[in-house]
Amino acid sequence: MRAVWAIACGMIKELIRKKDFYVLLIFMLILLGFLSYQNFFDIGGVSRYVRDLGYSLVMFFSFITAVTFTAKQLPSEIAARTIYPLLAKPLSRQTIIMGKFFGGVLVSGLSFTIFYAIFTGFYMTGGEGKSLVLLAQGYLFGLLFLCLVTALVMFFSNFLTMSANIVLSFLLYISIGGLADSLREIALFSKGIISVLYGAIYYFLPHLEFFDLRTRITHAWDPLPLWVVFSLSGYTVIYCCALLYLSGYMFERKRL
Amino acid sequence: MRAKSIAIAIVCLFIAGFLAVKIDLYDQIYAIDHPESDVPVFMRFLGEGRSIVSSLSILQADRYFHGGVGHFSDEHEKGIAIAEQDPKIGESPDEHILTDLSPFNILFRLSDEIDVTEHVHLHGDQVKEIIPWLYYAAEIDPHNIQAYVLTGFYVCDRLGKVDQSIAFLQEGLRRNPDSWELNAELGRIYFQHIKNYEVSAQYLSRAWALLQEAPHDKFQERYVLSFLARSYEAMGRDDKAAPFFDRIKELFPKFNI
Repeated sequence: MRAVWAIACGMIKELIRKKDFYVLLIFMLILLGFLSYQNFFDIGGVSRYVRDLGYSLVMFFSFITAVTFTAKQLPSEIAARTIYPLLAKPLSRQTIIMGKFFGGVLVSGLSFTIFYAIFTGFYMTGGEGKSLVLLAQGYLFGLLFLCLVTALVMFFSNFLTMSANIVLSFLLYISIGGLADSLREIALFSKGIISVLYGAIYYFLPHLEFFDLRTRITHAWDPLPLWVVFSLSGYTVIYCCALLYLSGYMFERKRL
Repeated sequence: MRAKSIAIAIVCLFIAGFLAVKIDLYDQIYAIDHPESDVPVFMRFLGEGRSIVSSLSILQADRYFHGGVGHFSDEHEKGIAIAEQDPKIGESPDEHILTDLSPFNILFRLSDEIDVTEHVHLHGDQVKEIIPWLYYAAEIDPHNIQAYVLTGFYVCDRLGKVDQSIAFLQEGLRRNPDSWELNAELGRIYFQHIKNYEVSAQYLSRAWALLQEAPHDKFQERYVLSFLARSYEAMGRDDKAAPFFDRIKELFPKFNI
C-alpha cells in the first residue's frame, strides 16, 4: 500500500509541476466569467446556459487531465527505462498498475475538485432551482467517472501507444452516449439473436454517459434516487476492478 | 549581432502592427458597404459551417424550452400552441416500453432512471433561459432569419422587452434587407405593441412586396395581409384595407375576418 501511495504522490507532484492544469483552470475561469457577465436584452437572471457550459467544461477538463496524465505513465516509464528501478525495488507489476491508477484518480480527482468548486460558486450565485443534493451527486458522479476513465486508459496503455490511447479515449468519450442509445434501442426493439447480441455489446461497453448529470443540474430536475447512486457506484467499482485485473495480467506478461 | 537581431524584430513588429491597422480599417469599411457580411471575427473561422452551428443553437434553444429534454415533433401535433400548453405535459413514449423491462436488466433500468424523459415546457419568466441560444444563433449566422424572428418574438411577447426586440430585429433587417419575415415581424410588433399603425403599415407593405417575390404558402400570406389590412383599418383608411381583406377572403373563404 505504501508503494502504491508513493507512485501516486509522484503523479501529484507532476500535476503541480506541469503547466497543463493551470492553463485549463485559467481558461475555465475566463470563460465562465465571460459567460456569466453576458447581458441579453437587459434580461436578468439568465443562468441555465452558464450552468450547462460550466458543467460541461468541468467534466471535459477533468477528462483531459485524467487521460493525458494516465496515458503517458506506462509508455514514458518504459521508454525512459525508469520502469526497471521500480521493478527492482522490488515492486510487483500489479502494484505498479495500482499505483499508476490511484495516481491518475488522485490527479484528476484533485483537478476535478478545484474545477467543481469554481463551478459551484457560479451555480450558487445565480438562477433558480439550486439543489445541494444534486450538486453532491454531480460531484460523486464526477469522481466515479474519473475512476472509470483512468482504469480504461490504464488498460489501453498496455497495448496502445500514448497518442493512440488518447485518441481512442476521446473517441469513446464523444461517441459513447449516441452509440449506447442506438444499441439500447436496437436491443429493445428487436428480437432473438440480434437483441441478445446488441444487449451484450451494450453491457460490455463502459457507460461514461451514465455519469453525466448536466441536464439535471442545468434544468433543476430532481436528484436521482439512492438506489441509482449505489448501483452506479457498484457498477464503477466492478468495471474498474475488472479493467485493473486485466491490465495487471497483461502487464505481467509484457516483455520489457 | 544581438542588437541587430533586436532591431530587425522591432522593425518586423512595427510593420505587422501597421498592416494590422490597415487590415482592420479595410474590414470596417467593407462591413459598412456590405452589412450582410458583417460577422464577428471569431466566427469567421467557421466558414460555411456557421449556418450548421447556428441551426444547432436553435435546436438547443428548443431543447431548453423542453427542460433540456429532446422531443419528437409528433408530440406537438395536438394543434395547441406550444406556449399555451400545460408546463408539465407527460412522459416520453419511450418510458412505457421500459416499464415492461425485467428488474434484472439493471443497466437498461439505470439508463432509464438517469435520463430525463419527462415532457415539460418552460413557462412564464423561465422562457428567458432560451434567449442566449437564440441570440448566439443570430450572431453566428447573421443570415439565419429564423433566429432573428424567434428572438424578436420571445424578447417582445414573452419577456416584454419591446424596444430591445425592435432594435434586434432592425439589426437583422440591416443584415438581411430583403427578408419579408423580418419586415413582417417588425410590422406586427409596431401594430400590436407600439400601436404605431403608420410604421407598421410601412414594414408590412414592404413585407408584402417581398413576399410576392419569394416562395410562400397562403398561411404566410394571410399573416402579413391580416396585420397590413388591420393597420390601414386602424388609421381609418378602409379604402386601402379593403383589397387586403378581399385577398384574405379569397385565400380562406371560410375565414371569419
